[in-house]
Amino acid sequence: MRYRKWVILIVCLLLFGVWAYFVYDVNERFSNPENRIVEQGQTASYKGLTIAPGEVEILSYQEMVERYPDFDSTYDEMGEEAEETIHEMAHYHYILVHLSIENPTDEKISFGKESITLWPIEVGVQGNGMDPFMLMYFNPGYDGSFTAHEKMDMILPYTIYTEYLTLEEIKKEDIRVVYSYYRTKNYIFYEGGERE
Amino acid sequence: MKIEIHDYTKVIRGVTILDNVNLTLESGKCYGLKGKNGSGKTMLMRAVCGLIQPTKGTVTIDGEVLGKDISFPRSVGVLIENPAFIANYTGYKNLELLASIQHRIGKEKIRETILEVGLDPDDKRKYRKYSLGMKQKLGIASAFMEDPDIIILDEPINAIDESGVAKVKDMIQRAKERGAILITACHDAEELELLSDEIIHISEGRVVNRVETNDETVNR
Amino acid sequence: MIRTGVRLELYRAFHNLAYYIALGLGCAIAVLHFVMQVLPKTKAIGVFMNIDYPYSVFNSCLALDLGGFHQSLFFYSVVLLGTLPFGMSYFTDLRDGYIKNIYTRMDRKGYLLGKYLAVFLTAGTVCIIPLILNMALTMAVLPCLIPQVGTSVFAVAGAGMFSQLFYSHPFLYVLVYLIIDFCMVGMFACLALSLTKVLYNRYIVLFAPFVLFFTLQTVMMYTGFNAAGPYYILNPTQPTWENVPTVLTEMILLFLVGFFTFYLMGGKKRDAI
Repeated sequence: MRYRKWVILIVCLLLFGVWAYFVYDVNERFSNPENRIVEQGQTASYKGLTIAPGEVEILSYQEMVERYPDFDSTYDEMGEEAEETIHEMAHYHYILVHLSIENPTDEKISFGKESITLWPIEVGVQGNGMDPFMLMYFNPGYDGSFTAHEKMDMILPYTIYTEYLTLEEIKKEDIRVVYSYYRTKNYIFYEGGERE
Repeated sequence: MKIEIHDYTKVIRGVTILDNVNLTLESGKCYGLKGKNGSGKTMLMRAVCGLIQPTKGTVTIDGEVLGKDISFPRSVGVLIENPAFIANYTGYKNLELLASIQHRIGKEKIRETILEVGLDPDDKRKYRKYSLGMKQKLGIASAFMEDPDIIILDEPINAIDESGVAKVKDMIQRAKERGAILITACHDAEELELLSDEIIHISEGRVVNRVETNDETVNR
Repeated sequence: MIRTGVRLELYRAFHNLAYYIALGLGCAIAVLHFVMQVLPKTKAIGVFMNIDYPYSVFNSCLALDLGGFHQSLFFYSVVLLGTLPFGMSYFTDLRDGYIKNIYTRMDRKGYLLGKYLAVFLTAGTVCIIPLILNMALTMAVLPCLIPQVGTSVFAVAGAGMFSQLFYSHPFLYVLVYLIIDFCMVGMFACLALSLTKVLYNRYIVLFAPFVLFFTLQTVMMYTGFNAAGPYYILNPTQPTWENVPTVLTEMILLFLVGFFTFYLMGGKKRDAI
């Protein structure tokens, strides 16, 4: 047929147009998250709470043991697995993020299913979740909620496997503690560079 | 056009297939190879086409040595052993593909040659659906279609009907008249004598003697 | 003559029922994956906690769907699918005698180079076209959300090859892997050409590259050189962390062994009997 090539071309263009519309539509409805950062010395509001980041400690295992000699006692409740876990801990670097969270409202606020324990850390292209045992060690009073008009100082503990990044590399990388990914990416930001 | 085969020897896995063959073949003649199965007829045909490399010796075509100056004869059409084509293409498509390699002929010539051998160029059947005789005819068509200077035909009239045989003879005659060299082999001695101007007897890889079909013996 | 050989072999390779069958099978896996794995995700796309991340093209498409059945099926079978269109053609040309028609019309160099290129290209396209198709279908129903490191729902670990690229320009990452996959599958399929000299059954020639692929993968896994396992190299999710030197070395070796055994040792000097 003389017009076969033209018919095929038109059909292809139509299909492409339909596809392009679908792609546009879904990306319009679910666009990339907007980044909202809060840095040390600043405050941010999230779900009624005020978050104020403090300093960040980046420690090797030895430094961690020196500064917090009994931090591995939190794993005693693991029973038989405790020894193996404690042995493994020497293979990690430790990042401790200090922050305060204040509830300025008249009501008790809880994150509910979105517990603080779900806040991951991003160090360059490495990421990790929070260690729940160490969280309890550093924040024994934390029960998952924030009393009205109260301010709580917290330490969020994270680990990075030594094979992924050296201590020097961690100190040079940007660090992000993310408390929300979508629709906005809210995170505490520590800029990379020369750190002590 | 002259083909000179000089001290040609081919050994495969310790077995001598061709043994010191010396031949001179001239244009305008059809040479028939005669010999038992396994005597070396087909291997000699392969040698002339450049399909095999000699253990010793040379094949020279118009002063050019095969395997050294040229990889294959500059103008050759072959039908050696069974015809082989692409199963999922039609006969015409197969020949068109082959003709597109050297661009010597156009579509009209392909169609003409297919008609000449008694096939239909517009036949939509794929090659794999062809009968044995049709496959053979297509093989002959591919050997002749580009009017080559050298034509090698191994058992050309296998499975072909009487009218087809007459057409093949006619094509051979016209090729000789335009100066081509033809080399053929046929199991039917009578047919071989009718097709050839000279019979070359081959036994155990050696040329035993040469006989013109007017019964004069040519010394080796 | 080289151009003629390339043109002829490419024409034969791409106008060939086996090519469409292989491509069809690959695309069938791609479409099945889209229907069975991707479409169900569209129902949950708007339902998430803030700390969660919606489904993205970059953790849902066939290439990046970590641990999915269809993904494993595709990357394990792709070498076989790639060899199917034209991998046996040198074997059949030799055994059936078609090569006489070629070698009396063109220089062997053109034919052999054309043959290698044709097998390489058909195999490569059979690999990447289904991946592109699946990605296009997925893009029509899921957003192209940029991967996020801390969500743990994206396959590429920070220690993996080109992880920086994945988390900053994921389309470029996919493009790099399409190139790697194209080359690897193409070169594996071309091993069938080299093996034609030593094998006497066309179906063994067809399956040989796949067997080699599987054997190499198993050997690398059990000897601890995981990164050199060809399945792991093909897979954009990097089940084991890849690195550029290993991938490049393997690709170069594959090419050298495949091409030179075929062209120099097998093809150019071979009697066409």
